[in-house]
Amino acid sequence: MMNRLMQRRGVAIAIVLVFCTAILGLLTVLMMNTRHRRGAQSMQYEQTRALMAVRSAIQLAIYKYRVLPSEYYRIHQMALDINAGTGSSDEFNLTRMIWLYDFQSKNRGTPAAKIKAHLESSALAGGAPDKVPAVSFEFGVEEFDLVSRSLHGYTQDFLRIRAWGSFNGTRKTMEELIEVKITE
Amino acid sequence: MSKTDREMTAGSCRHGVTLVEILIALVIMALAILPAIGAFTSSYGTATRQLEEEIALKLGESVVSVLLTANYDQLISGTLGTLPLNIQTPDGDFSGALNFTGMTASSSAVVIGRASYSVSVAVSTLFRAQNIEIQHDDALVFSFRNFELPPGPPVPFPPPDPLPPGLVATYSCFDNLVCLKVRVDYGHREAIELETFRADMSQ
Repeated sequence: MMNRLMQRRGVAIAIVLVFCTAILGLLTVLMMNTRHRRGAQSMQYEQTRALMAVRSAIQLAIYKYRVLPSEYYRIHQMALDINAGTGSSDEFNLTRMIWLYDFQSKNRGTPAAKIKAHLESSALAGGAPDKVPAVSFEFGVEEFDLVSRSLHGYTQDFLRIRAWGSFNGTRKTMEELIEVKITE
Repeated sequence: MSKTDREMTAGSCRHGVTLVEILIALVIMALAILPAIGAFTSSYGTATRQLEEEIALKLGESVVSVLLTANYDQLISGTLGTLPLNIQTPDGDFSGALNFTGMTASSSAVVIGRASYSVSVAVSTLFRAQNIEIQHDDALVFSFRNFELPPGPPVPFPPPDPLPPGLVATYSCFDNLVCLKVRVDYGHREAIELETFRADMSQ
C-alpha cells in the first residue's frame, strides 16, 4: 500500500515538474522573441532615417538636372553613342563620374558632404544630453540615367535615379523614376 | 485491527498525501507561473511600445511626403498657413491639419489606439539662393572637377589621392535648398525625428 502511495506521489510531482519545465520553456522563447523584436524595431527607425538621407540625395540629383540639363545631355549623348558603337566608354565613365561627384557624401567640399554634416550635427543635438549617440549618415547616387520609351506617336522620357543611404551602417537603396519633358 | 479499520487508515492516509501533493504542486506552479505573468506583461508592454513607435514612424513619413509636395515658395517664405493632414489609421480616418507659423508647424493631437501623437515641423534653409548683387558663400554650388589622369607612368584609376580632384568650373544655384525636420512625440522619453531635404522643382 505504502509503495503504491509513494509511487503515486512521485508521479504527481513529476507531472507538475514537466508542466513547469514547459512553462519555463515558453517563457524563454517569449523572452528571446521579445528581445529579437526590440532589435528589429530600432533597426526600422534606422532604416527610415537612411531612407530620408536617400531622399536628400535624390532631391539633389533632380535639382542638378533641373539647373544644368545640357551638362547631363552631354553624358546621355555619350551613352547613346556607346550603344551605337561610336562612343568612347572611358570618356563616358569620366564625364559620368564628374556628374555624380556632387551627390556622394564622402566627397569633401560637395553639397552632399555639407548635407551629411548637417544631418549628423542635428541628430546629435536631438539626442538626450546624458547619452549622446554616435550617428553616422552616408548617402550617394549610384545611377542617373535618362530612359526613353517610344509610344504611339510620341516618346516618353524618364529620369531614373538609383540612390542609397545609410544611417549607422543600416543601408537602404531607393530607385525613383521621374517623367521629364525634353524640349526637342 | 479489523478490515474496516485498515481501510479507514489507508483511506485517510491517501487523502493526506493528496493534499500535500496539491500544495506542493501549487507552490511549484506558482513559482513557474508568476515569472511567466511578469514576462507576458513585459512582452505586452514592449509590443505596445513597438507598435506606437512604428505608427509614429509612419506618421512622420506621411508628414514628410506632405511637405515634399507642398507649395515650395510658400514653404520657404513661411506663408504656408494650414496644410491638410489626412491620415488613415486602424481606428479610422484622421482629418487634421498642420498649422504653420512662419517656418515651424504643429498639428492637432492624433489619437491612434490608446496613444496620442503630436507632430511638429521645422523648416530651415541650409543652402541660400545665390544673389548676383550681393554674393555669399551659403549657396548650393555644383562643381565640375578634373578627373583626367596626369601625364606620365600609368597609375590606378581613380588615383589614390585623398585630395579632391581639381576644380574646373562651378555653378552657384539661385534657389534655396531647405531642410525639413519632422518630430513626432508620442508620450515616450524619446520622440521620432526624421530629417530630409527639398529642392525647388517648381519650374
